[in-house]
Amino acid sequence: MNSPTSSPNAPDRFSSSRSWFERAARVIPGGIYGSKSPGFLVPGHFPYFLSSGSGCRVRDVDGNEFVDYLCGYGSQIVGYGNPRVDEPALAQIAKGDLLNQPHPAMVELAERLVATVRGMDWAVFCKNGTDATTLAVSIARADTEKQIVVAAKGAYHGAANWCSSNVFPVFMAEEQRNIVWFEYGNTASLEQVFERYRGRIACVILTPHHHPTFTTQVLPPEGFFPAVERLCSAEGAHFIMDDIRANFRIHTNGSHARYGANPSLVAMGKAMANGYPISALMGSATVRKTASSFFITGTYWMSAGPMVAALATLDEMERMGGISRLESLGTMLKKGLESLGTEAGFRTRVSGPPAIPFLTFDEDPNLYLNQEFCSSMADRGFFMHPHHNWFISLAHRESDIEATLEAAREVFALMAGRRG
Amino acid sequence: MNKSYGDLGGEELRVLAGIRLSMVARLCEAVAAQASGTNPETSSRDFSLGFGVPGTGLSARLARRDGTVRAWFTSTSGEKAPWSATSGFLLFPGSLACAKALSGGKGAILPVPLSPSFAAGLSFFRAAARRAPELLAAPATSPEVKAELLLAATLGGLAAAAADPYLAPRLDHFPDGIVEIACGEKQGRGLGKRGRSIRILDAPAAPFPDTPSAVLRFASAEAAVAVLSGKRPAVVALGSGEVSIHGLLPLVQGLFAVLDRLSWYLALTPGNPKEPHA
Repeated sequence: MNSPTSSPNAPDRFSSSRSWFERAARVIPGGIYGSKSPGFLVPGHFPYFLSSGSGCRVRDVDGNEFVDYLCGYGSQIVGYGNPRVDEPALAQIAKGDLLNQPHPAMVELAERLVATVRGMDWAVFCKNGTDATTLAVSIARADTEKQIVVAAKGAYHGAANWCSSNVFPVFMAEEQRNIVWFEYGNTASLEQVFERYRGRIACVILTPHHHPTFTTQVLPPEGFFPAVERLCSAEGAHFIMDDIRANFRIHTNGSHARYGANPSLVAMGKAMANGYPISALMGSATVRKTASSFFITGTYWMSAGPMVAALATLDEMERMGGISRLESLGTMLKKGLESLGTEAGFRTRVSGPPAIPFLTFDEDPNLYLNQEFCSSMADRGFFMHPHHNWFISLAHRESDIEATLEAAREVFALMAGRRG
Repeated sequence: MNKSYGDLGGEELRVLAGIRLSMVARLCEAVAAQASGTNPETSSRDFSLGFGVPGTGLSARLARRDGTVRAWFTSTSGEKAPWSATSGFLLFPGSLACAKALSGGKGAILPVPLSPSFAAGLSFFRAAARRAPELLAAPATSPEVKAELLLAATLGGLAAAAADPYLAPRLDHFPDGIVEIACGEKQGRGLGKRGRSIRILDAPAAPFPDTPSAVLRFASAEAAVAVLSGKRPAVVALGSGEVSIHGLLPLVQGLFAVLDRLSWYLALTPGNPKEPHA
């Protein structure tokens, strides 16, 4: 397999990025931590520090511009710097963002979400996806008075010790002791878990489709969610939908509405406020009493600016064409990439829903080809992550997709040539 | 948190002894592989010298056949070395004695000669074990030689550190596969991870039989020396392009966790410990 080659551009294309990284590494463990770490991309082909974004484009500290298919890890859905979101949000921040008591925008947003997200009766707000999923699991445990949390292998539900990839013995012995994993979409595997842990299961937490890093995404098979609901119902356990990454890219009424699923708790975040820091936990009427008795708080959880941004984002998504527009753009990219890849002799596969695509090569589970493809695309000004699913936003236009496919044609040909 | 050997439980002490044993054996092998002038001694007599800590499953072997020295290590009882004829053994009465003796301190060693070639083996081991730190410290040693020695020691340490029960959940969590660790454009060394074990793949002269699952490449010998000696944090070197990783990233990330644990063991000080009772 070929490794990504050097950038055809100037060798110092990312000199400022590297310089900032050297400074960062002196005072920040790892320089840049977590999923934004340079090692998660392909160093030498991607910037480490970005300075601005506009629409579907981001610009790095060296002045390089990219058509962005990561969208702030999904948080951007109506485009960077969208004035219809930024103006009301920034106006509220100027008037007062974090006050002693909540702003009425909190009520308006809860009303709006309850009216929008199917089957949900209430909403509370926090900041990150981890806040919402951790709160969901805690409420499920309190409500059922049981401990076991069932999750799919490879699923990401946040960075808290109970679910993170920090697999240290000290966490395994406590926080992760009651987390049980099964194969996503495999009803038999889930049934075995329920059989083994009968009477001890508090909840099953799932994403609407399986989106692990480093591999293809998996859509829920027919009959999977009904089986989850049947097993949860018999056990008296809750079904939690972690919709953080996918929300408002699959269905306007929550991704579970698309798949006919009926969770009792839904965690949302990322795209709901177009990058302003807010997440939400929503629940059905059956869990309201327990949620009411829960002490839910965080210093910044009731800041008004992001709530105003969320309200504006919900409006703007519809104005810009909503789900059908996202799917149209995503399908154009998916079909184009698969077709171009096949023409060049590769077994390309674009998995996941159209608005959350991810390209893999069936002949290369080790992802050398992903790295080669994405780094070559980055060299040409397209930010496509080699290991993490991509996102389409409503700020992308057909002309952006066309330009992407034109560059992809060149890259596939280059890769085919290298492969001989 | 700074710890000494005395803070370790029996199992950790066993892991530490294994790390020291494996690293020293690999270093001796690497010293012997260097060009003439760096070679520790002139005798070319074949030998097969065993090292062991009775009752722990730890054993290593240094053997020379037809001028080539090979090292071998296992922390599992019952495994046989590929070259099994023995000149004799150097036995350590316990893990602590082994760890101390092989980290430059005083630790009891019981020599058990079984044939006249034992003397050649012992002579080689003493000379190579002394020569390795000299080579690493000498300004005149080329970065290429230093990189080879450090890489050999690191791989040896990784293979032994994988036996640490602390790492078991980490090893379960990341995928199996082969990582090629290369320096510049040179053919790399291989490290294979399967389940909870890590093995050095001894095929430096031949191409890998299969495409490695991942490749970790140092841009230069200087970069390798800086990172492997701990002077340059790996993450910074990665960001700066002095190290690159391609292929199955989770495998390499998992090995970094093992490397972290290896560093933890190597940072332990002998202190004033007592051999724990089993």
